Amino acid sequence: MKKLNFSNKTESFSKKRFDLIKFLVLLIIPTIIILKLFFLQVWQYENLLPIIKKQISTFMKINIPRGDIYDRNYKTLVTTLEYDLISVNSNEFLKGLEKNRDNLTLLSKIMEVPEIEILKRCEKEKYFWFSKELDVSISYELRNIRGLDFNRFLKRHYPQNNLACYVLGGVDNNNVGYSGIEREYENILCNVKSKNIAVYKTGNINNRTIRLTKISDIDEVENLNKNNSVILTIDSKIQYKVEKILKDAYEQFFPEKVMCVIQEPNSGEILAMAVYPPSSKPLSNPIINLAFEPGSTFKVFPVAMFLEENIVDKNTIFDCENGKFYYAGNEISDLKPHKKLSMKDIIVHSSNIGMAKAYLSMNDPEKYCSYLKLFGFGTLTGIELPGEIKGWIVTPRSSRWSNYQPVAMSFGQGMFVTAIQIVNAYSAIANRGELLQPRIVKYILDSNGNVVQENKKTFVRRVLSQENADVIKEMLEETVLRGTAFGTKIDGISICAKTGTAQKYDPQIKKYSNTKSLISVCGFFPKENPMYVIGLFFDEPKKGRLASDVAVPVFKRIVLEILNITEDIKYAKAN
Amino acid sequence: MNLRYFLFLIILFGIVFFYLRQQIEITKIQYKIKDTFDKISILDIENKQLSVQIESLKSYARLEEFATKNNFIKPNFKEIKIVYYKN
Repeated sequence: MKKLNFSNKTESFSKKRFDLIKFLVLLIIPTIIILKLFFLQVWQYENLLPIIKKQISTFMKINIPRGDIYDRNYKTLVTTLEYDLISVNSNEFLKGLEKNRDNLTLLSKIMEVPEIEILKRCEKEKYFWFSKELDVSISYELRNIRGLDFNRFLKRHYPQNNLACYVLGGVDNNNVGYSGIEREYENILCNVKSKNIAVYKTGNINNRTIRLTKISDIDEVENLNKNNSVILTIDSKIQYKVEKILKDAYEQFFPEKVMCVIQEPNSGEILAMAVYPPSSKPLSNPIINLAFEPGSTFKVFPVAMFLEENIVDKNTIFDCENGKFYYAGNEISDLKPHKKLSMKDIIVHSSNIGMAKAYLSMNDPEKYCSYLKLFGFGTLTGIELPGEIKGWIVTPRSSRWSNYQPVAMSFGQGMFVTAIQIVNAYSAIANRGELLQPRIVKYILDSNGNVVQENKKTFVRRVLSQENADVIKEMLEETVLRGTAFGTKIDGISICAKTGTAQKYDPQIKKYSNTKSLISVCGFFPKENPMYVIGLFFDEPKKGRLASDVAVPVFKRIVLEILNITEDIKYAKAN
Repeated sequence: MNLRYFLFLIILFGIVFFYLRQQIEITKIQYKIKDTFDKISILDIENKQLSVQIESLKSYARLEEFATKNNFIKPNFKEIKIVYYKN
């Protein structure tokens, strides 16, 4: 019985001890664990999180494509596409082949490399690249092959090929714009180049290497800041037609280059800016950074000044000396000799002597030069393209000034202007005396297509009274009806234009060359309400000496094409 | 007593098993989601490539080449007469 009692006591004691252990196991230890977890996950959360993130995650670089460039009708001119380059880890790839030989056949078929060649390269090199750029949809088919690594990259794509190549410019291998709109709007088109997002370290399931992205990070990828797009004022249909006409002209007259600018005078918007021959990597745009002596197309600007200063009117008569005139030791000659011409006829027949005489009736070089600068010559026009140059106008205070200088300038020599300056100045005449800033960018859009910036019409200054602008228009119309630009005449349409043939200065012989010239036609239409200003420039054509033979027929063709595109006219075969 | 511990262990094992199974399923679903997002991004890229291809096919140079091949040629500008002019 005692024994029994003793055993009961022992049993009761061991039961109590067991209950205590049970209590410890079931309550205290979990409590300690919970407290420790609370300490780590809540109390120490802020301090430990970066350490844990560093341990379990890595960063993945996402390339953000450059923004697109569109024409005024939202036709894509430049966009970015993604491609994959494939690299092979030979050991891993060969191990994978032991299990599935079909992978080699698939890889060989997609990469267009014989199977034997791939195996030879695997034996020779531990790690190698395929040079073929794969569409991502094709490279996706290869995703299950062991030992392959996919390297995504971005590439600029031009759906319209070389269209407006000098305006658009180009990007280098690092996707950085080096010329044209690509350079000028680098910060807009490529504001965000890439973004690093946190992902779990590389995982491996079924021999397939996967970077496991956190769901929250996927949202982040979807909502990444994307780059803005640029809408140009260029009309790609007009641009294409002009480029085609310039190509034909180039093949007919063999100039060094032929350039054309078309501007809308009442808004300053550039509709076409073409240069032939084109370039796949255009470093500079000759329309804004090639300065030349403009020749007779410039004559209208001094005449505008003479009219503004009431020195002449359109009927003032000047003696044109029968084609030869000497001033300050220099001979001034006309292509066709004339005796007496009115101011209007001086423009119509493009008389250099008449212009010289008109200047000499004023003879105020300071006023003369400052007035020409009002039209924008010798200053930047402010067009949104990189590398624009000011041109060059000699002022009376310059050491290069001579008495002959302003006389030469009156017929467009002894000074340098750019094509964009002269076209913009013609726009001021078409616009009844209002000079506007030329514009080539219309809008900037965000990634959702919302307008974030609108480039509005910018009025620069009034350079001419409306009445005098109308007089100049009348003179230019007469030039088309019975003067040097007669070849541009189209029945039923009032065109205003002026031709110019400027001999180029040859530094080797130190005088004006008889073989090298810059031939141009500038004008606008219709006279009543000008919609298009066109400047056409042939630099050193090898065939043809006069603007009437070279530039005038090309100018007329451009006018007809514009009218046909805008459906203002319809034409048919004559017979 | 043994039965209670046995039941306790069964429930504990059940909870651990359920927890592990849940984690595996979550991981599998995460992989599936990742795969789906990959497919979406590839379809997006493919869509853009196709739209660029459409732009290339509709480019003026190609249309003109097509028109010339089919003899839809405009008369030379020197041989034309204007049949309509919008004033």
